[in-house]
Amino acid sequence: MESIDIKALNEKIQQNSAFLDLLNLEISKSIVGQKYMIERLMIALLSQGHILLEGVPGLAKTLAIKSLSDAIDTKFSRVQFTPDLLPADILGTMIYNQAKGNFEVKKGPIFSNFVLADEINRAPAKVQSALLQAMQERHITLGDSTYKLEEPFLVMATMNPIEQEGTYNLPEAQVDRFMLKVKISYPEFEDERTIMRQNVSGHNPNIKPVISAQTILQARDTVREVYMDEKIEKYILDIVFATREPVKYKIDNLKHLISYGGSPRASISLAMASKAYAFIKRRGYVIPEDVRAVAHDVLRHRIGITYEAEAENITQENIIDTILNRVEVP
Amino acid sequence: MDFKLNKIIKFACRYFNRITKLFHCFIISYFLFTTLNSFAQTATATVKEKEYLIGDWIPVDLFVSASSKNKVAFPNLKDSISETIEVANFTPIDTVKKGGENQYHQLVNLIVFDTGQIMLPQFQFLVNNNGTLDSITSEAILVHVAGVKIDTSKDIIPIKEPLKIPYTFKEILPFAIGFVAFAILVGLLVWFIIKRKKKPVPIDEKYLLAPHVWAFKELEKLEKEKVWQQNIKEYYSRLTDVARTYIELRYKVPAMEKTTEELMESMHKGIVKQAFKKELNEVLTLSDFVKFAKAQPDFIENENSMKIVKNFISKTKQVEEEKKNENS
Repeated sequence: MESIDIKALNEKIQQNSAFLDLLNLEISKSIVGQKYMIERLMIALLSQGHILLEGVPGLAKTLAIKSLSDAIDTKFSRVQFTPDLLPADILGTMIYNQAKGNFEVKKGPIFSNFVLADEINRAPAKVQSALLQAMQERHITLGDSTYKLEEPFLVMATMNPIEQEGTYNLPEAQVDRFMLKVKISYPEFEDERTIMRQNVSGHNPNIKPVISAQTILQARDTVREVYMDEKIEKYILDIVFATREPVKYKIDNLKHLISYGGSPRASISLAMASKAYAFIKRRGYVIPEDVRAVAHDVLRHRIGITYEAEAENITQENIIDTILNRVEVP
Repeated sequence: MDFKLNKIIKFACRYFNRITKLFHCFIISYFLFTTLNSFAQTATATVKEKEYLIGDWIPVDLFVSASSKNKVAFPNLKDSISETIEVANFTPIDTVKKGGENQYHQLVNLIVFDTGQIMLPQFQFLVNNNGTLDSITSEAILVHVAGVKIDTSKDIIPIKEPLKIPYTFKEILPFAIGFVAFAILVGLLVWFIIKRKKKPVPIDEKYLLAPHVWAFKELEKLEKEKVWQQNIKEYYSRLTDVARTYIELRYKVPAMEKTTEELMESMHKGIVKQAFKKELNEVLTLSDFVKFAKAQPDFIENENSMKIVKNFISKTKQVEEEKKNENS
């Protein structure tokens, strides 16, 4: 078995994660009170995942990803999903150049480092599918050529939980491709006072690039090195398996509430997100607290609930809480 | 010549007379024979009375007498003979041998749903006479069917209740079998439940002993086995498991499902003195380092961790008197 020097790894992480303070400081100039969302964005960015945000409009979702992009010195694009959107509007297309007499590639907004897919559930399935495929494969084929998407590549999709009319719900197989599904809520009273004052005064903070994309890529490599003990691996698997076979974990009351549990992608995402979380906490090893901290965001969109659960007003959150409270911590 | 002619004529006349006589004899004997033969096949249908009430059974006795060499077929009776005459039932054909002939009897009960002079129809029988099929018929019978006399001087009486017929064994049998099968099933179920209940369920020792007694026993076992000298990770895993289980049993806190941080938070409400909690926190945190971060504490730390856990248990154990007070 490979020998890991935790002390050396801790030191390396201390060094490689120093940029996080700089980044947080810069983003906090424009974003107030959305620490949880910023932290989850960082987790997704460091573990090469994508993030699905669910929250009412006006919670600074766009501003958050825009600020992150500005602070990292990367390209940012925003796509507003509408029912008449076409896959070519996102991916790009071939356009005939009359002067040259040939077809030229017109790249779509997906050719950016940070892509905000606003209200993803407003576009029909073929558009969602095109985006999700690009997210998964990280390359686009236009005409005869295949283009690799530039790293770091992060898609942040948003969904409005209030309006359901005229929306196309993401299928389970598609939604599984998002590493995290984060639910964001309103800011605290004092935070909102600061937001209000900032906006009323007309003060628009200018976000400057404080780190390069290369720093993020290096940090990603370090995240993969974070030590995860066998006991933690077992803990992650226990949690994911409990979503599939609750009876095996003596959580019989969940049996009729879960229609399907987390996929193997859930285990992978939970492990990667735990490592990224440990990295953010400047640790070279994963502890059960890390797993529990990200479990809700990794699992909430990967658990299907039955009609009985809906009738009893039981949500995915309740199911995850029950599982975390019943699965033994190593 | 005339004499010869007369002689021939006389001779011819004589022969003609003889032939005529023979022909007559043949005709007479033929008729005699056929008449005798027809006497051998007779069919009658008789009733005992000439008057019946509407709806009553009219017993008609069908009788056929025929040579024992011949086969007789009785009429194939159906439910009804005509619109007003129905066949209630009939007996099997009774055959009696008498000399060279057979006598056949069948009793047919008819019901007439009409009043007045009713002509019961003829019955046709088929006789197989050496390959020749003859048919003989009985004579039609005239009976008088009377209606029910209504006494208009009396009130109308309600329709009579259906007659109660006692159940036969054949009718009861399926129910009896079903009842017995059900009783057997119930019996088996009760037997199975009783047998299952009797099966002893193994109870974990930790639920039988007082939490501190169980915890000390486990710690002693851990020491005796000299675990930390062989596998430090296992030592700390077992040590913290004992401490967590003790907390779970003693304070009814689900300690096994909580992280160190959560456990410490759940024990803040004055249930444990701050000093004990702080020491225990140190052991649990060190244990997390060993379990998840490959930390290698020295033997002093290992022994000290054991002491801290023992001290925590002995200082927080619930003595019997306390338990009694709590219960009262």
